[in-house]
Amino acid sequence: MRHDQHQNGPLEPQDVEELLPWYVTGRVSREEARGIEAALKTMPDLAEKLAQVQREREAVSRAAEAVEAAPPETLQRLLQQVETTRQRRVQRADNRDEAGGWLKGAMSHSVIWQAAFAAACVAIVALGIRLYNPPAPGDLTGGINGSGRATLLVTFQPDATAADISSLLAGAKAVVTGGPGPDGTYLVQVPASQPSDVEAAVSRLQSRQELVATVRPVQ
Amino acid sequence: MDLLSARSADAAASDGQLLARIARGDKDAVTALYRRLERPLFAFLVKTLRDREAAADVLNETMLDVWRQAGRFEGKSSVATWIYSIAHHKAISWLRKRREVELDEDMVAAVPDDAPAADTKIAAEDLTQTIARLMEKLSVDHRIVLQLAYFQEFSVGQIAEILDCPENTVKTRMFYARQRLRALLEAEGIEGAAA
Repeated sequence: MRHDQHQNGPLEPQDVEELLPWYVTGRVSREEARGIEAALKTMPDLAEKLAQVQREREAVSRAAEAVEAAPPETLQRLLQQVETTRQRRVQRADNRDEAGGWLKGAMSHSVIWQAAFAAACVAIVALGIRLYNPPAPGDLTGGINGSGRATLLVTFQPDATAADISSLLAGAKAVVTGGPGPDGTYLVQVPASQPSDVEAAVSRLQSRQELVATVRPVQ
Repeated sequence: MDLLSARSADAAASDGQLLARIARGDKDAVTALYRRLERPLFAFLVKTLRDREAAADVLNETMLDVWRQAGRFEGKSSVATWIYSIAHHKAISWLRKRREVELDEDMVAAVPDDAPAADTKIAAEDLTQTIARLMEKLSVDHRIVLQLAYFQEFSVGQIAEILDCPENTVKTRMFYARQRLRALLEAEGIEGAAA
């Protein structure tokens, strides 16, 4: 509000009209309200304009009130995501504590310990490389169960919407059976009777990079 | 504290108190704040996006941002203003992504109207319903300012904070929104129903 302009004099007719939408909701200053009330006594057509604003307000409010509540799963999804991020925070804090303590201990000892520390670092890197060993394209055999379904580990892009994910999964006849894990991974089952079906399902999901960040079969 | 007492304590807590608890990692406070804001915020998003599924997604993303950023809230604006500004930003991003932000009032007006003739319509619906129907034809900026002022009952200053624009821009948008509405009413053969 232009308090600076209004406080020392009567409101201009244009100011009064501009403020009417906020006057009807009680969101003008006391000074402005007094100015509008004074203008209502002197401007013959202002009462009708005020009535028009009130009709608009009623229409907007009624239409907004008629909007049904958000689907209940919106809150469930939110709480699930909140829990996931909370666990990540705790995990990060734990990792920092462990790494900090370990580094501090390692750095405070003798040369022998420094050598051991270096060796440990090399071992960790090697272990990381070994752990990060994605299956070769022709190696997608695992996870087909007796009921003709295979399980995939899928992470979705952070900005993928629930609607888009639902549509993607429906198109692939896939269902989410678990997750999200602390890293945001979901267990997704797809119909598969042979390894090539698993490969096809992985390719199909991988082709939607705007929605799917990673996908790999559970071996 | 039993469940009922906890719920009544949540209901009595201010938005600021709930946000402080969220910043400390309290999940129950997330639920309490969500339940408090869900109806009006969801209605605002549905009216802005004209898509319930998208509105639910944006509501979810907004509240997730509240959870993530609660510790960074500086109290320069009210909690509600802050949350609506997050929701508005996300809604506009969604519209841009869908390239619907260009679907302004002119384009909507160009869509053939297969609704019944004016006199038939007015007989079937009252003036309030007519105004509500015609508001759907307004541009997204105009719908937003009408929603925030009339339904959410934010002041000019708060709307300026939510939209991140000067207060005079808010007033100008409101002026043109109402002018456009009047033109739409006149096109339906109703004069003097909106200023």
